[in-house]
Amino acid sequence: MEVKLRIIGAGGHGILLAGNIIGTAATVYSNKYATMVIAYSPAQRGGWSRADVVVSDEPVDFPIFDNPDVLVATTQETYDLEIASVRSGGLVVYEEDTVKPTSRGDVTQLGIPAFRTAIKVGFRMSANMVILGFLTELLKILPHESMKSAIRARVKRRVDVNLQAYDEGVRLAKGVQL
Amino acid sequence: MSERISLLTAERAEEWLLKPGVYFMQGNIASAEAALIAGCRFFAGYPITPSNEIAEHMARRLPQVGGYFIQFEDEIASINAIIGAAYGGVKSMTATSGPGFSLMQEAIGLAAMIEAPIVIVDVQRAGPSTGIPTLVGQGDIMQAKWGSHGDYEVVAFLPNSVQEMFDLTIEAFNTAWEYRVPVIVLSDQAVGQMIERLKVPPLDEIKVVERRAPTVPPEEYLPFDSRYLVPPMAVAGEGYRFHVTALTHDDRGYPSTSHEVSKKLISRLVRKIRENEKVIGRYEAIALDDAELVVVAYGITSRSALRAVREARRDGLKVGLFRPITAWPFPYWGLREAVDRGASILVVEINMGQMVHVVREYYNNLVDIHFMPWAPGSVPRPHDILVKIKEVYGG
Amino acid sequence: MSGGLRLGLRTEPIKSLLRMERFPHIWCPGCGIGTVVKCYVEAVLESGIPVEKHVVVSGIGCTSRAPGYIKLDGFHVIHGRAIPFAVGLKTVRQDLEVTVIAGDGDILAIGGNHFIHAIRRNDDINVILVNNFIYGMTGGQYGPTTTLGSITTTSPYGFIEGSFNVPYLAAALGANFVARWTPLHTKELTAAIKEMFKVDGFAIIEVVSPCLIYGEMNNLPPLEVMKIFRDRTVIDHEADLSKIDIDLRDPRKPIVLGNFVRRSRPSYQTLARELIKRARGGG
Repeated sequence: MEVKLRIIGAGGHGILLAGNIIGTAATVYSNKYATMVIAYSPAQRGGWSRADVVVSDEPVDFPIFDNPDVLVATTQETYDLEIASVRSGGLVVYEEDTVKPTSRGDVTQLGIPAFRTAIKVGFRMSANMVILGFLTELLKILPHESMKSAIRARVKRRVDVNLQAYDEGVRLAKGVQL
Repeated sequence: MSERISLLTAERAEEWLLKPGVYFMQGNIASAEAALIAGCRFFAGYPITPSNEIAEHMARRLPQVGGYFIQFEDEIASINAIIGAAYGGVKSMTATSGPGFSLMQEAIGLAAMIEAPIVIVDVQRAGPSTGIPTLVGQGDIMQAKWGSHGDYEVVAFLPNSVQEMFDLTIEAFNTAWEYRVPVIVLSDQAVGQMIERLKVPPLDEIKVVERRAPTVPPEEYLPFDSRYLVPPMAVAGEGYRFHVTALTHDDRGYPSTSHEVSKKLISRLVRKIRENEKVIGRYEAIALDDAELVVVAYGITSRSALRAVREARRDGLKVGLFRPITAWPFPYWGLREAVDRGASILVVEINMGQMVHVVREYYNNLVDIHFMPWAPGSVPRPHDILVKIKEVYGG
Repeated sequence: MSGGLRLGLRTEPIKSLLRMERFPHIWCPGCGIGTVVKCYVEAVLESGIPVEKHVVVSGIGCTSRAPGYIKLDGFHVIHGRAIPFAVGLKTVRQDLEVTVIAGDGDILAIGGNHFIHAIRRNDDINVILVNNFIYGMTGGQYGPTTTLGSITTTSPYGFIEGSFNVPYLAAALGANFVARWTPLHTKELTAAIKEMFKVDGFAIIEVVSPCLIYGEMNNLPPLEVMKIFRDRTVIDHEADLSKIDIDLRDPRKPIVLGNFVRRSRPSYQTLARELIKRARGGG
């Protein structure tokens, strides 16, 4: 098993933290391997951040990729930037209130209300946790317990609310068929 | 006064070190943590992308283990300061990237000449000159060995993973103090800034080399005693009252213009590494046994090459990977068997041709040596390397 | 080995701190550097600090050869880098008394950036800067303290740049101890060096000692220089440092000497020790 995930969004959306949690869940709490490569838009402020994470049962040979299996985008700009990169047959998860998807017949596209859900649990900053819960439930590559341990280890404040947001994300994925 | 020294061997220092276990950690930070475990208690540096995480991490972590961090006015001051600190008996390091590494060259020669054990982490970026500060390059291979004037030897490691950023930083300190030589951890932006699995073994399983101090009384001590390949090292304040100079010097450390003295000193400075090249030098060989084509690659490029080699094997091509783990000394002996079998060689590196010259030095005219240059700023993808493999395979 | 007393009753002779096997030294007859070495060694012997805790560091140039003749832990490193080497050593070994002895070219030209930043940081080192107005070892080229109009091998038509006023510069940067003496003022120079050892923070003494080559090219033979030191020097510890630039060739201009600055800004090393305690105490 090897999955290439690309998570991209505006600075402040917790993109790197999301990548870190996946990597930590895989390596520290699941006895798997993961490598993350980070990139930023050239602008120092107000730009985007991108976390490319490879999760694998084997040591990751080459962690740099151009065509992710899974793309997560939280803004229109970053969605537009990366939608063409997703490999044919891949999965795209976008924030449904901020992104208007373009049609691409060879990938599965799912919109989720990550920000609305985060606001509902009382912490807008936890939208990344909603996405993590959704992805984990959908992809089934990492156990929820590992993800939650990683959240506890990595999140600095309001851990409970973040875990709640994660569970909401899991709920959103229930019944979704890939 | 004793209280001042005790800070450097701070009580409970080990409580502050990274605990054994599995981490998801950045390469640069793994290098910093490894340095602390190896006993590094002084870091001097100047901000430069993409090595900053090392300095930032050291600024926070060194005081916790009783060590000192100074951000100096430039890279020149930084490296000279760690040489001074090394002669205080304290393990010391700096970290930098291309432009800063260029500025450090004169002092690397100083460290080689006065046999100061220091560690330099060079996180290579795209050059020349300012180049692309945030993106990868492997253009410092030759500079690491030949960057300062005159004849000397250094040791340079080539990590290709976060695990090796950790392991080889410890190895760098051990090598520096074993041989009294400047040691370079020649990383690159991709390896330095990637985040991946790191396994930290229990502290008592990590080998740490300490200074070999003199055992003779001061009146018998010769700081550059040529009866040894690596003379025992006195440090300041122990009562040896020794003299150190960057001038060509005799066993007493006194300057000399005698050719005999020059011959004795300079040949010892290179012999101590050359005669131990097979102890120091390291490589990884993957699928070399029956390989008809050997890809030579290191650092981040070796990971792309590994995937390309695997894909070539799936396509039925007998291709192997030779990965130098030390650039200097170059582990040429690891290629001998494949060359004797007539295997050809393909060198892939993110520069316009550096390590390929070293490969040619040993094996030119014996087998075909192909080269795939790659301009800095990106990593060749497995597909790019595979295309080149197919182009040169059997040809 | 314990601190000797004044009154000519030092417990150790000066020779005990010299590498006698290395004599004769390389300095020209009449050069003041040897006198500076003697004053430093006397100060070390009288400092009350064990000799093995004294370390001397230098760069490149005539003055920088000093450690080669002094029987202490001594480091003769590369051009311009004595200060950063000394700072690294002192920071990790605060039990040592680290003194840099080097020239104006080494410290103020190639090493100028380290000089200003070491004073800004207030590193706890001592610097004895022998100002000979020229690059002596390389044959008499102009340097950062050469006086306007002087003839040197690289200013054959007269020097047209400005020059550093060392005490003014060091005081402005914030040094804790700033002094200026000449090799004729051995008693004062030795006392100033001893005082420097006690300073926590950056301490500097400029020793005015023109190179013989400079003298030859600018009508200042050695004996004339000694006369200037005797007749034209003024000791004024309270001097306005902005007005004490030197022109040996101008008979109306005094050479102002003294211990000009005494401050007690905490040294970098003291603050770094406190920082360590904070970092460890803070969990």
